[in-house]
Amino acid sequence: MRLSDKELGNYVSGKLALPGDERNDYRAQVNRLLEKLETVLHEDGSYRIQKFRRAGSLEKGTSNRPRAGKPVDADVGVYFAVNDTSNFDITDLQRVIKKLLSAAYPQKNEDDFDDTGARTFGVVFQGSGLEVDLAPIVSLDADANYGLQYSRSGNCVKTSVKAHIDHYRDHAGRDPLLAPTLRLAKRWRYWQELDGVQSFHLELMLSYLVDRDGPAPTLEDSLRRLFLFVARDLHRGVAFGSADVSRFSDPLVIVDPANEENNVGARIESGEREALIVAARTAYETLTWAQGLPYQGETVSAWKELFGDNFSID
Amino acid sequence: MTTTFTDTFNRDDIRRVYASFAADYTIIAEWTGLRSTTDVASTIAAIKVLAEAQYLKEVHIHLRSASGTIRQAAVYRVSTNASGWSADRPGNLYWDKESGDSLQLFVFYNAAWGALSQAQRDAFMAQNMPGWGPSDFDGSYGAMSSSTDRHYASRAYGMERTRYSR
Repeated sequence: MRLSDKELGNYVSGKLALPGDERNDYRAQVNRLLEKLETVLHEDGSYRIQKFRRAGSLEKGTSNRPRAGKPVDADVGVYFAVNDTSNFDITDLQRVIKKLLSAAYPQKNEDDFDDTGARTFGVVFQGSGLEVDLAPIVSLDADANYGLQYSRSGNCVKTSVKAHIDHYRDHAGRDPLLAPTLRLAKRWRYWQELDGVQSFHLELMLSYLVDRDGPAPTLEDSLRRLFLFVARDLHRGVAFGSADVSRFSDPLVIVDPANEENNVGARIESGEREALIVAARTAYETLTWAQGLPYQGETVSAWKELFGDNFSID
Repeated sequence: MTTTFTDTFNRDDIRRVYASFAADYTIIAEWTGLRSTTDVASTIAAIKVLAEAQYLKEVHIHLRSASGTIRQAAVYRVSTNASGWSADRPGNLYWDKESGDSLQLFVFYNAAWGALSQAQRDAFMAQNMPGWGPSDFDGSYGAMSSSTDRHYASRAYGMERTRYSR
């Protein structure tokens, strides 16, 4: 049998989504952090930081509850003004962030500042379990809309936190089922152990489907069409507007909506892409089969294969 | 019209088996993009009624070229003696579509249907299978290669899937 939006919504809101009050608490904690940093910037004019921009799932409102022992992540882009955007040292910028944090939180332990990330700087709040990743970005304009950021593959790429947030909000505004579908897809990715696939990749696939097919009629249809897309069409790549996927030769191409010269899927290896496609095909077959099963218990059992034993519709 | 079930299978068994067929047809239709969602829903609804009334003998799904040649086929043959079968999952029917291809579906009725009067058949068709009509397809696939790859079963009721290709 088909599961209604209300039934699937129960699972999303009751088991997956970070509750609204917790999200507000975490966002308030990020705000307090940024206010402290802004105060230091104000008092000490030597920092050449232009702007902080909140990014990621917490800002978009699509965070799932953290898994046991895992922190809630908050992403912040730290936009630096540099004299020469073609010649800067990322480690210098990371050092500045660490100095800034130490000035803002003199009582904090050095261990609370994690500088082991290749391109970000992490701040852990032990009490709440919040982990804020501060990513240094070299600003390219007066409003710090665009900037240069080191990608996970180590290349310096032009991107835009603002454009990413705007892109998500535009698509979520056109399809109210995008957000719950993304939460389900993130849970599925975790349960199927699909390494390498980021939430941002799933979000862009879903946004692409909104552009291509319009808003999904139901949450179940939305999820099924994502799986069908991955299984059948993902090899053709994902691009927005006039961006051209053929300029890339990576196993998976998902063109950055903020920069058509950047493939945000470049780091996914062919084995990871194949695992994603195989898992999506199985998921598509399972949900299609479950639609015809006569009883709710059988249907829920089939869904549990994809989302784990915590799947429920009550 | 009264449907009699045996103690070896009942309506739920038929529905479970039908669910696998319906999934296969939906996957073929969506993967190839050759049938609309509405059309798929009405087709599988008609076959569900036919199966539950126990008039269904075989279902044939064809992918045909623009010239009418069968390029791919999946045939579902009903069994009421499927107790020993393993129950497979539907799927793995990803047919590549070419320009001009079409998707066609045929059903073959069993002896119980043949025992109905013409008036009863007409009434059933009018109520449950609007838009369906007769065909001259005789159920044979000539020299196409075949393989029986799935068995869908719930207790004694089952469908055996055989695929044909060139």
